Amino acid sequence: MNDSSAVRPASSPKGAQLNLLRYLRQLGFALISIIVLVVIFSLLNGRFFSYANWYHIAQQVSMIALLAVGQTFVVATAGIDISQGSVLALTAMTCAILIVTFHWPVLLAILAALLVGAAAGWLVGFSIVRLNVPPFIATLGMLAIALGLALLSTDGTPIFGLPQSFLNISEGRFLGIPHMAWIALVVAVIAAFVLNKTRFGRYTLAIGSNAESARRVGINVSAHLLWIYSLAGVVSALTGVVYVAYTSAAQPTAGNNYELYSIAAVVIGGGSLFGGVGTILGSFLGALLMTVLKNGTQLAGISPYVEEVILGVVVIGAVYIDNLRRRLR
Amino acid sequence: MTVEAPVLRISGLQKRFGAVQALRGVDLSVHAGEVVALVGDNGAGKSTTVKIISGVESPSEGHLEFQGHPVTTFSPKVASDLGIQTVFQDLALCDNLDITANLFLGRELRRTVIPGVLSVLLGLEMEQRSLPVLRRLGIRLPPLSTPVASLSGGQRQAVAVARAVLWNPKLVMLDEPTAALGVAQTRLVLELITNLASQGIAVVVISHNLADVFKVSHRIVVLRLGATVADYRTSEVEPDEVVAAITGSREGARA
Repeated sequence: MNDSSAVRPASSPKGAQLNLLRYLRQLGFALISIIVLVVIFSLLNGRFFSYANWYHIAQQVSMIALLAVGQTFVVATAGIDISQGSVLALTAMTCAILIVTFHWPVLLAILAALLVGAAAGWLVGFSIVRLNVPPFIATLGMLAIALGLALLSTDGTPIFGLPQSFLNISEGRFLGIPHMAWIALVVAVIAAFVLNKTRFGRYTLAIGSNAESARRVGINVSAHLLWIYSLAGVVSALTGVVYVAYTSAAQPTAGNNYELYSIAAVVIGGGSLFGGVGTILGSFLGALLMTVLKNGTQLAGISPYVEEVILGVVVIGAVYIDNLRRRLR
Repeated sequence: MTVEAPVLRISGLQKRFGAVQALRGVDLSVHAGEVVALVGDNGAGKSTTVKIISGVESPSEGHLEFQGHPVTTFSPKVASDLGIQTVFQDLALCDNLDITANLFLGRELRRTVIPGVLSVLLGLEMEQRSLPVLRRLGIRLPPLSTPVASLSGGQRQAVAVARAVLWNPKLVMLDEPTAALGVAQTRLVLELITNLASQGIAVVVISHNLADVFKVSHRIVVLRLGATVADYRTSEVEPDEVVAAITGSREGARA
């Protein structure tokens, strides 16, 4: 074999095949688990495999998938965002208060909510890059701050009476699929494009893979992380807006535990908490798996409290599998 | 006859980390096509010197000239723009990214879709551009879409060197390029270094291995306790003399 043939471009058949194999191995676990769960739940309850229920699943999955998109980017930088649920609650309250109490136009209120999410994310990023607070602690702090502010905003009472135009985000449908699922889909497609095809995505993975190497080749790691956490905050806020439309109300306990679902979704989808790895499609499948699990256990008549226990077990199990994968790699 | 100005000239370089004086007077010059070996005991200041030249650290005091122009701002970006490339001892690769992504990290080829808003990575172009460089250097690698994590030590070293050479640099610095390599791979890297110099690139090599140093270098600069203590022509010096300068048992003559 001579030297020139030893260097093969990825576009060659063998390179492409390797890529496909690697991809399938990464997603295989999520795909098989989803199919197994769907079969089991369909057998347990005939209503599971109906349009009405899939419509419901589409609504639920869009919220977890949105959060998982933000979480994918954060986790890819070797960070973690456990403030998603309470930032969701804070922005849900912001949006509802502006519409119901202050009679703001719906679009303007949504925009304001997104800005609040961006500010929360920016503060987290600032704590991480300027104050050297680890991502876990920075977002733990934001979890408490955002939840506290959400509770303060109405002294803990929920807000009802949102206009139909707003509720249509959840109730309206296009081609039989709820609007909120379309929103999640569009955001996911954009995110997948950014992660795979742009320099922003490349740097995200590079920082998670080796932040010091990234710095040495001239990447502005601090600025990049500020962007990532701010954008993750915006996505959490968007989820908050969608959540309000879905439940027809805003309450400070909205999105409770949702960060656990999104972290589980990312790890199940092949992302690694050690950074540098993650795909949007994988996280989306992970979100679908978590939603099917949640929805199926409800339909099977299992107590919602048991569901919480299952969630916890799944999160730990997913990280354990991540460890196994890293050892095999 | 005019003597060509050195590509890099450093004088009186000092660096303090808090109370620690890491460098207390480093002088170094490298000409185009010349291989200068930077040797010294652990803690002599070799790596710190390289980090300052590559813009990772800023000097506390001293003068640094590149192609006759003084350098006053220090950042990896500035160094890279000047044509200074560094192969760090830890290689500074991103394990989870593939070979192409590592070769172009920080300098990706992109196509502008919407000016100022959206540019797309040109994956295929980046691959096509790296192939001739890898070939020219005689580097053998698996498919370029392979993550760097699954490469051997020698292959990783080759990727790091190829990354340095990809942008037609004026100066390439290699920090302990053969420390982690076997015999055959070491020979390859040494050939690579000679190859770079013959293409008119100024090369600085840090090495503990004096046999390697004598094989590839034109000059040997010895650092001890953060200062330059000797500057030899390789052809005019014996290994014993260099060792003496490194350990400080005898002050070397400054060429």
